[in-house]
Amino acid sequence: MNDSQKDSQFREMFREEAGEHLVDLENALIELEERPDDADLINRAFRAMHTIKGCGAMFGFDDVSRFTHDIETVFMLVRDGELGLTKDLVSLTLRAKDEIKSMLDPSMVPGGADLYGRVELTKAFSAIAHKKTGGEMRSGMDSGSSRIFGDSGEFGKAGGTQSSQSAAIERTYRIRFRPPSEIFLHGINPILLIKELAGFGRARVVAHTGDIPSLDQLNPEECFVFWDVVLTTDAGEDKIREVFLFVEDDSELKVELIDEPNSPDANAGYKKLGEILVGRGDITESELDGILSAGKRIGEILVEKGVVRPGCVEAALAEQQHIRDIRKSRVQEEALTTIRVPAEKLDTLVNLVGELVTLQARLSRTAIKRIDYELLGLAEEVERLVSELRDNTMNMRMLPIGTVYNKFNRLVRDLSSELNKEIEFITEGAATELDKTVIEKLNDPLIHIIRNSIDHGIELPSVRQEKGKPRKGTLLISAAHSGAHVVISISDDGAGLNKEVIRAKAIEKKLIHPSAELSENELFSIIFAPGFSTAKEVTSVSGRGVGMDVVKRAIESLKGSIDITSEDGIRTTITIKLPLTLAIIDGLLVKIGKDQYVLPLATVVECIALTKQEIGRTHHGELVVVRGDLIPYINLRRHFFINGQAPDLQQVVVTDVSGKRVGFLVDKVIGQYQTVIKKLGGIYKDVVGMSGATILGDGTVAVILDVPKLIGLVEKEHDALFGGQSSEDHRTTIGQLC
Amino acid sequence: MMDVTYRETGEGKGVLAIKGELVIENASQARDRLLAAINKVPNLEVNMEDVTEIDLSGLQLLCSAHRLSVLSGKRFVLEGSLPGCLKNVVKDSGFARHRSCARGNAGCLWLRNWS
Repeated sequence: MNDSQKDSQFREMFREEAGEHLVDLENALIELEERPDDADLINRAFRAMHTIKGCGAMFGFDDVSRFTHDIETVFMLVRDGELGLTKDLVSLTLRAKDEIKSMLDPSMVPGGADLYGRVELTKAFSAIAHKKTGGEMRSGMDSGSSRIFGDSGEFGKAGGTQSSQSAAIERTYRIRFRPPSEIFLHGINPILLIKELAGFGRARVVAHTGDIPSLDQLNPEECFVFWDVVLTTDAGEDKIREVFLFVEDDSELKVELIDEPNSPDANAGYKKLGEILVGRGDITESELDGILSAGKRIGEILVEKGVVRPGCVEAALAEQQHIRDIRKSRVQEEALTTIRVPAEKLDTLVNLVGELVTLQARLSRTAIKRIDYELLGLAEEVERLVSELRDNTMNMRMLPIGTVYNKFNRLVRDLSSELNKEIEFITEGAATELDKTVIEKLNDPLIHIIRNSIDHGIELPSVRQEKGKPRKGTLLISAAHSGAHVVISISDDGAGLNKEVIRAKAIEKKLIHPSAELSENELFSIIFAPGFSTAKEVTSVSGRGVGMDVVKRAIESLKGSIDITSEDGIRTTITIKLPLTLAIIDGLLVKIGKDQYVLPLATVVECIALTKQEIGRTHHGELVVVRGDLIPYINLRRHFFINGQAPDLQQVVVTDVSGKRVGFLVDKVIGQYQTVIKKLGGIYKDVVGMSGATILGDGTVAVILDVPKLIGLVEKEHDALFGGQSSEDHRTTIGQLC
Repeated sequence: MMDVTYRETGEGKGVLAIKGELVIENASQARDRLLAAINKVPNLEVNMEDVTEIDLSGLQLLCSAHRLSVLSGKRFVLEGSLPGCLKNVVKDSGFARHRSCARGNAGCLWLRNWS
């Protein structure tokens, strides 16, 4: 790889990381609107900007670095309590965040980078900073120097690199500051300097009080104290020295670098007390040697003998402890380090694992066929390892759904502001994990649903008050695991769905017959019909009648289901149920005639043997009695038109779909099977009831059954055949019991 | 503004209450009042409860007064609840101690929990 390629790779890495920091910044800002005094949130926003600024300069994004600097300046004032955080400032910062995003990659933002907007924003932030500091702070566009922001080269290419490197790496310094005894007379409070210094990072401060005379000899207007500070910071030595700029000439100031991550002993233990004292110049080596020969605790002996003051021992011990803590946390951080892997590599890995699973099935089959017990043992071992490998690989592709939630904070904020609504957005279950491919495809459907909830669901504050509701509406999005699925629900406490309006619109659009009697579920499901919208006006937010249709199709393409419930005037809840993964599942392999099929194991409850006599007793009514309960079943041999004679003893695989139990009659249950899902080609796209196929160990193909769809299909067939008639047996089997 | 009151409670014990700002502007006055009180009784309690501001000169004074008491074989303690401003300044300035800074076993004024 040449330098240019490396450069491009680093820039790409920066773009990715900056993108994450921008998301973090946006989330912090939105939370700050609710809690403007939350110091942690202010620090979070500040840190995000600081990192973007520092790393931006390092990777050649000088414009990003300069632009971010101005915002960071204002947020430093906010952080230091010198400037209040207003809603306007949050809005301005959000606009600036969008601008940074466009600067990083103009193609990511509609309209691309807006130089005019950038200049306007820069002016706005500079004005805020200028107003507050009386011109003390400079704009990032300027080239002048500033006490607060360090050397003027900070944003130049070379200077920027140096500064950013120090920003990225934390080093530990030992600082000794001995102010002049007359410092009080100059109107300077040394404690404020120490406090400012400690604010640069993690610090341990030890004040040496040994020189303070007893009260009868004390001139109270003289300073007798000096300090040792151990500071771990990303600020450079120059910045540290700047704190003492106005007193440095008359003071003793010593700044020594004592630890940095790249030093050879960076992760080792730290020096012994005696070595630190020698290093600090508090004792000489010969004094140390003399003390060590006594074999006692060195600190105590040194103080006892008057070689060193107790304060010096205290400071040395503080340094020892500080560095040990820093190194310990550094080792822990390194142990927790994650690596970035391109998603394509993970996809390739999953494909390879899929091939391995198929091969392992073939190995097991060969071992059984040959009745070779040694080979069988090996095959079982391989099966166990492949199973673990599969689970681990799939786990790597899992992402928390919170990554999608994060984007919605801004959406809700902007939409509610645009529509003059007051909405509290609550998220639950952000840590719930879903397969990467599912997460990626979930974004758009969820945006559609949220936009609809805000536009059609939640009422204007005045309307809500008239209805006796709180002014602020609530939009709740939650996710939770449920077996091999994740259930996501989006609920709003808005106007709810009006059944009469939906019905009238459906009749108008000729989606239903005026005389049709529909259950509540059936009526609500019309919302998902193409072109359906009850909105009287088409807004920029929603109402074009394409949203919910697209949502349903997107969810179904993810092998999921979508359901809607509502109480008129009170609440609407949309529930999405998605499979955890779309790549490899545990299946139950069954045989009908010569063909084999896979049922997703997650839906299977139990298997029951069924004799021809038992089938006869129900007059071929396709019902089986399981511990006193009647369960309908679908005869797959008949459904798939498979020729041949069914065996005397067949089996019913009982499944549970949304709390309803339905059986599938098969010739034989072969057993559990790790199923690598392969897509059915485009030719089969209209085939209902099959969600894919898998390759078996012997190279043959088994169709994976889509259990909910299959049940729905059979329901419809029965309705079409017997709907409104008196074939009670069939109505009972599927239509009523399901 | 600083206000210092002194009273004796008997058995060689005196209580010095400092109110207001124990800062450089009032440091000389505070020194004189502290010195006078230490010279009067062998057991001096200093009440800082109503101190609203303290700076490095104030901390120095307390440290120095304690030092004189130790050298004179007298008792000097901070009594009552300590104000937040004192706790913060002690922590920020690095006066808070984990081990005694005084020679001998007379203890240290700063050796306590300042959180």
